[in-house]
Amino acid sequence: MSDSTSETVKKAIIKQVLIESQSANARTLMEKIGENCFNSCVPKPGSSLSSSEKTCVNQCTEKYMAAWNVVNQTYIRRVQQEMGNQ
Amino acid sequence: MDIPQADLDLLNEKDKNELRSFISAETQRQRVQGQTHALTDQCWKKCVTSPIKSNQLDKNEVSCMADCVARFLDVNLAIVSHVQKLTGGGKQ
Repeated sequence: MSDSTSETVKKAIIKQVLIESQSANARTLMEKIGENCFNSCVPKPGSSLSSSEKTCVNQCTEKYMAAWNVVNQTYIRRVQQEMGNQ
Repeated sequence: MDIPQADLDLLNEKDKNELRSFISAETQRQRVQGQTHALTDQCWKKCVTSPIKSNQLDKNEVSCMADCVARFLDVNLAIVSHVQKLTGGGKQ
């Protein structure tokens, strides 16, 4: 990168940090969905994944993401409230 | 990290400061997301107890999740203030 400037280096660092934090977040979310939806949808593992288990896993995945959003909003609102109270 | 030291040396003070504030805001955002992951996990186990029949949370589940988050944080605060009392610390 011979034509790098302070500006391009800064932008490259910001981009790299965002990529890494977003992928860490996505990885954690996938792990949690995996654990929780496996528990919710496959209480007794059989010899194969049944079609109703597959449907459950698909619904559970979307539902877990919805739950994540509810928690995130509630948490942020609470933190903001508490900062206002100080 | 694939940014060579030679490039980092190009950063001027203004951009270094911008990067510092960016990193601290991003760190904060990561902490909130990490806490959200932990709370979603805990509260899902408490609130989503019946078989999954839809891709959405029902009304009761939504309010259970919100209450669960709020009460978890209440418990945290209660523990902090109790421990402060036990150790004789805290303000006044």
